[in-house]
Amino acid sequence: MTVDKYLYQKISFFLINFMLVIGFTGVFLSLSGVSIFIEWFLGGSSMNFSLIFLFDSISCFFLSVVLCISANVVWYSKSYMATDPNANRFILLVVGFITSMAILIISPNILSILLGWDGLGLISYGLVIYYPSSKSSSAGMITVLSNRVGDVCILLSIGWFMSVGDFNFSIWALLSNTDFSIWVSFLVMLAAMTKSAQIPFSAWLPAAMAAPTPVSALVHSSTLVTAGVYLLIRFSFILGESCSAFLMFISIMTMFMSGVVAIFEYDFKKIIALSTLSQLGMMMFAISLGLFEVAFFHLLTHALFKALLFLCAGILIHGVGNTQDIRSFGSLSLNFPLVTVCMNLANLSLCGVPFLAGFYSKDLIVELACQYSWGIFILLMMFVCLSLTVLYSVRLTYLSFVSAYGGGSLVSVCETDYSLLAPVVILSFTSLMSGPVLSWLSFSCPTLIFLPTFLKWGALFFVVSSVVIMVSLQRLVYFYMWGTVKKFSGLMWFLPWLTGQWLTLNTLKNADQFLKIYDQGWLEFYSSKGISMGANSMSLFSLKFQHNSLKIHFLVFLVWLFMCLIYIL
Amino acid sequence: MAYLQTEILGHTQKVCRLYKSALKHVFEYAPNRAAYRYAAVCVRQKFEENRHLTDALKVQTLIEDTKEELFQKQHSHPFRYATSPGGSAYGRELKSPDWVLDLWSPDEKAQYPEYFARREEMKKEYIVYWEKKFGNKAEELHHHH
Repeated sequence: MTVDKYLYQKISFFLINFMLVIGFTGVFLSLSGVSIFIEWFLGGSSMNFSLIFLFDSISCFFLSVVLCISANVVWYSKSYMATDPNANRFILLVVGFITSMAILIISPNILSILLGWDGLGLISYGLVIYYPSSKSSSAGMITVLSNRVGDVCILLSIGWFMSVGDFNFSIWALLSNTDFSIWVSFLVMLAAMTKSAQIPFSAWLPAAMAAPTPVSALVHSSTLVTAGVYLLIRFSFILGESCSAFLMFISIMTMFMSGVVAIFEYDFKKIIALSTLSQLGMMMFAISLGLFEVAFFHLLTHALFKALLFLCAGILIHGVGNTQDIRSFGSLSLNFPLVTVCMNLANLSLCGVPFLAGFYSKDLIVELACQYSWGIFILLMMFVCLSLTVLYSVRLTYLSFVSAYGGGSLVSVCETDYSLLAPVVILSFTSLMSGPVLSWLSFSCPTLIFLPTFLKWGALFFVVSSVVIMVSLQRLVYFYMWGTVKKFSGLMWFLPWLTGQWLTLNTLKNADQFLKIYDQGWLEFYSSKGISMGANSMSLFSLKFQHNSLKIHFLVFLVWLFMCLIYIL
Repeated sequence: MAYLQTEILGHTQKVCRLYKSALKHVFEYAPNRAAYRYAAVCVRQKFEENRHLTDALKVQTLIEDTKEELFQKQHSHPFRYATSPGGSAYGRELKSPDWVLDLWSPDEKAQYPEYFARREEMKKEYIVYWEKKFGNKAEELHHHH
């Protein structure tokens, strides 16, 4: 039970207003090409502290998208979390999360980015372990420890920036001739990889679906996971050729792995989480090609339609009795017509269907990649990943809305709650308009792309053929089709086991050996116990030598004192 | 045996459990309801074909072989109901044990005086009920000495 009956509405209203102010500021800054630094300076002669906030077009657009999604998610949570007894804790955590994200976005230097970065990791842990089940607890553990690796990398890179003289990325970005060590590039890239769940840090994102659905919509689709991409966009000057090549390989692998696993996944929210993973791979792929503005554009459009997808998923999950297994869904288009429309809109955007949001950003990445490609294998893998996106999206839509209902009876399968529907409708319109509007604002002049006809039509061909393939496959009834591939992909290529249980079990076993043999064994013998035993045996010897006589003991002490005085004087 | 036998099952129980496992297995794999119904009928037919068997060795071998087949072909995502153990919504309500209330500070307890007063009375009533039913172990031990 919340203290204030209208708390959620008030927070949502405040966020909407803040979003409008920031949004219009962003438009003004984008058109005028101006950046605003707000600095608080504290100090005197020898010690100076300053807190700087940067408001440029990038930070304003990102912040306004985050605030838009946050406002809708908070409004949605009013009804979704109404029956939850810990709703106060929930809203506090969400507000803390939005604050951390805002700090990260408007920070011009890596020190204050760390404040937001650590805040995001900590609060996302609090949100994942929101429910007191063992599944949430283990998911929270893997989330926070994966994010912790990134935190350490950022801390190490801060040390490096301290040695080169300046923490502000805006200053470094102005310099044309920057020669950074490969280690700091690798550290920043690794930090971004952990936050954005690239291989081998991908296990935490599907596991984090144990959190409530509004958390997944806000945190795990559009804000926390994009922090890594945002970091790389801001620190674009730091990526050298070798890091870009490594990032390209990792991003392609992540896209491929998440696409394949999503096809064989049966948890509704995990399919959407894997879809997020795939799109994050796409953003990282764009960054590795040097297309930072395009990656940022895709980040914004993806955030909107992915949050919409999660909110629709929440309504469906609520409707079929809190089950997330896709085998319990089916024919829901009859009972949830509005949610079906909005979810299909989000899915079609995700697939890159022409003139929806995803088309503007994703198709631009694909065409520019075709133009600047690093080889035929990369191109082929990119188109394969595009097809995989369509395959799992069509599967999701088919199993939710087209196939026969597979759930139980006595469930309230209907859409009547306007607190849930209104944010979904608002996000649908926002997502629909975001593609063209953001492309007009982000790119002042259209990008000229010259491609042969087959490459130009390649993306659309792969999308259409994937739709046909998946719809045909859904009608096939062979139970044990692709049994081994299904099992391998169903366990996410053993990545959660490899980076979770296997790694920690071996580390703990070795740590146990170290503890027993070295820490509680030889180190004790030679250091603490050794010193005390040595002092003990020396004092026993001196007692024996002194025949246990107090007079001789004091005489010896005086002799020692006399010798010390002689030495000093 | 590699595991501890905790219950003795009759033959009917073993067959019924195997049948239910088989139905769950085909439900997990079926892409839609119609396919599941068809597969369920086929499973039932297989069980009916072997219903007449009287040779205990043959029957046990069949049961073990079917269990092994179900194990080998188990689904990577077993179906669990949402609020059942292993389900997505399992364990979301945390019920604190009653003794946690004893750890509250006096300031916190003072906010609910009637509740805690009644709780103390109920504790005494429970001790009386226990001693009436099971006797007073402390007194018995004391008497032995």
